[in-house]
Amino acid sequence: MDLFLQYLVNALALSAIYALIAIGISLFFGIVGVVNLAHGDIAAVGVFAALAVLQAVLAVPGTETPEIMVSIVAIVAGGLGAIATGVIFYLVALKPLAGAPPIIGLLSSVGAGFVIREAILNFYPNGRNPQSFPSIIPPKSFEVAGVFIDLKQIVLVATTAVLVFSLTYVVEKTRLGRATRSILNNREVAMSLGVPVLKVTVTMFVIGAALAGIAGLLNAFYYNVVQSDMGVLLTVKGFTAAVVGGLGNIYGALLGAFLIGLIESMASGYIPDGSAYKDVAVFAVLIIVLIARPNGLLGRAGGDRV
Amino acid sequence: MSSVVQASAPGKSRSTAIWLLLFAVCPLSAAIIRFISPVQLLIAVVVVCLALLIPALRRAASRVLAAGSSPGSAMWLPVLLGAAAVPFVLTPDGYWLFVFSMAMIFAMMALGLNVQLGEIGVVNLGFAGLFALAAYVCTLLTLKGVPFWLAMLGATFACWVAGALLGLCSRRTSGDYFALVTLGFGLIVHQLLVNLRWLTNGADGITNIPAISIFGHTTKDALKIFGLTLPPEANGFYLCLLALSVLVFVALRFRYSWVGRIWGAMRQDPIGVSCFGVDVPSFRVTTIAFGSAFAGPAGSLFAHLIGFISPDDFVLLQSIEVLAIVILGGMGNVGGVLVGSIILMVTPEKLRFLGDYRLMIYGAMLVLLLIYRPKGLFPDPRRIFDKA
Repeated sequence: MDLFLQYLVNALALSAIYALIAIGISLFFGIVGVVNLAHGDIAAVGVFAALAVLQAVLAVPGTETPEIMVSIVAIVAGGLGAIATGVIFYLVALKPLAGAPPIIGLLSSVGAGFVIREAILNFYPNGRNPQSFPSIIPPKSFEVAGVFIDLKQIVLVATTAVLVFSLTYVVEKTRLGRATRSILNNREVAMSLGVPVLKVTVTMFVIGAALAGIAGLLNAFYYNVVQSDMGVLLTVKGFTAAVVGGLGNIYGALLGAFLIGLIESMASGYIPDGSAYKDVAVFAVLIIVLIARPNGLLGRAGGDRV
Repeated sequence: MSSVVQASAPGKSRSTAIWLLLFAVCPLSAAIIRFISPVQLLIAVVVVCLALLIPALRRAASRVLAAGSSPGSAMWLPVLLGAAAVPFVLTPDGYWLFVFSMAMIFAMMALGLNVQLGEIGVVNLGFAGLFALAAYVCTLLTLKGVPFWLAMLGATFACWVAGALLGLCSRRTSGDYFALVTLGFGLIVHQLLVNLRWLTNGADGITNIPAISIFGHTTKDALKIFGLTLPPEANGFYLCLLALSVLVFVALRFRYSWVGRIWGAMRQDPIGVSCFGVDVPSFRVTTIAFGSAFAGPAGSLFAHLIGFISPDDFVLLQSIEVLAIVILGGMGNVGGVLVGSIILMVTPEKLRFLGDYRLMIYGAMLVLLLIYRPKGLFPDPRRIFDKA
C-alpha cells in the first residue's frame, strides 16, 4: 500500500508537467483548429533559454545568489523564450495558412517543430548532446506516513495548480476569456460581432506558449537533464493527455494528464524493467482510448463521425 | 508534350524522337547529378523552381507527369529502359549507384505515404516505424535461414498488419488523431528496438546481414553484363528498380480503378461518398494498411543492401523525409512523387557542405511549400477542385 501511495505521489508530479502541455495544445486546437505538433518544441526553446541564463548567472564566481532569485530568473527567461517562439511560430507558419484544411496546418507545425529542434541542436553550444540542468530546488524530501515526498514534487504540483486556477479564472471570468470562448464557439460570428480575433488569438498563443515553457522547465527541474529533442516526447505525452481527457476541455486535459502520469509511474514501478517501457504503456492506453472512446473520457459525443 | 499520351500520334519520326528523349532522361540526369558541382546544382535547382513558378510551364510539367503516370501510358517503357541504363553511364562509380538506390527505397515509401496522405488525406508521421518494422522482421527472418524473398513477403505482411492496427484508431475519429497515433508509433518502435535487446541487439544494431543471393549470384559480387563489369552496387540498383517498378505499377493500377475513384471522393467529401454506400471508416482502414505495406519491400531492401541496421536509422527524421517527398512532389501524383524523391534524396548528397544545416533547411522548406505551394511542385491536374 505504501508503495502504491509512493507511485501515486510520483504520478502527481509527472501529471503536473503533462497537464500544462495538454492545456496548451487543447487551447491552440480550440482557437485555430490546428493540432500543434510543435508545442513540445516550443517548450524546449524555453528550457534552453532558461539554461543559457542559468549557466550565465551561476558562472559568475563569488556571488551567492539566493536560490529563489535564480529560479525566478530562470522561469522568466524560459517563459519569454517560449513566448517569442510561440508567437513567431504562429505568425510565420500558421497564420498564412488560414482557410486551408487543418491537415495542412498540422503538417506545417511538423515542419516548424523540425526547424526548432535542429536550430537548438546546431546553435546552442554543445546542443547535440544531453545537458545537465542545474538543480535549483534543493534536494529535500519529507516523510509523510511512510511516503517520501520530494520538495521538487511539491513545487511542480503547486506551480501547476496555481497556473491552472489562474487560467480557468481568465477563461471563465474575464473579458479576454469571454472573447476566447466566443472564438472557440464560432470564429466567423465572433469576428462579425467585433471581437478582435487576431489580437485574442495571439494573446492565447502567448499564454499557451508560456505554459509550455514553464512545463518544459518543470520537466527540466524534475529530471535535471535536457536535450534538443525533448520536445517530441513532451508533445506526444501532452497531446495524448489532451486526447484521453477530451480535446478542447481544460478539466479533461487535467484528468488525462493525471491518467498518463499514473500509468507511467505504475508501469515503471510494478513491471520489472518497466521504466524502459513506460512510454509504450502510455501509447497503448492512447490506442485503446481512441478505439473505445474516440471523443475522450470527458468528451461529448458528436461531430463528424465519417 | 501532352500529345505523348496518344501513342498513336501521327508522324513516326516524331514519336521516335520523343521515345529517345524519354529514354535519355534518366541516364542524362544521373550523369549531370554525378558530375555537376554543388554550386551549379544549387543554381540549377533554383532555376528549375523559378521556371515552375510560371503557371503555363508548371501546368505543362505536371500534365506530362500525370499523363505519363497513367497505367496505359507509353511513356513508362522508355523511361524504365533509360533507368536501367544508368549503371552503364555511372560505372565504375558505385557510390552514386548506391545513392540512387537509397532514393528509390525512399520513393517506395513515398508511394505508400502518397496513398495515405495524397489519396485519402490522412497524415502518417510514423513511416520510419513501419520502415524499421520491415527491416528488422526481414533481417531476423533471413538470419533464421528464411530465403530473402519469403522474408520480404513476411515483412510486407507485418507492415500491412501494423498499418491496419494503426488505421483502426482512425475509424471513429478525425485525421488529427491518426497523426498523433502514428507519431507515437514511430517513437515507440524506436524505443522497443533499443530496449528489446534479446531480439534486436539494442542500440548496437544488427551487423552481418547476409547479401541477397539470386541463383548463386550475391549482391556483393560485381555484375557482368554484355562483357561490361558493373560495380557490386549495380545489383542493389537493379533490385530497387525492379521493386519500385512493381510498386509503381500496383499504385497506378489501384489509382485508376474504382478504388482510386473512391479514394478521391473520400478525400473531398466523405459524407457524400458514404451516401453512395461506401463504408468510409472501413475503407480508410484498408487503405491505410495498403499504403503501409509499401514499407515492406523498402525496409527489406534497405537492410540487405546496407548490411547493417540500428535503431538510429529509423527516427522521426526519416518519417519527415518521406513526408517531404510526397508534399514536394505533389500529393496524389505518382510521377511527381518519383521526381520528388530524386530531388530530396539525391541533392542532399551534393549539399554535404551545408553540413547539419541541411536538415533545418528541410523543415523550413516544408513550411514554405505548405504556405506557397500546398499542392507541391507538380500538382495533380485532376485536382483543380480540391481545396488544397
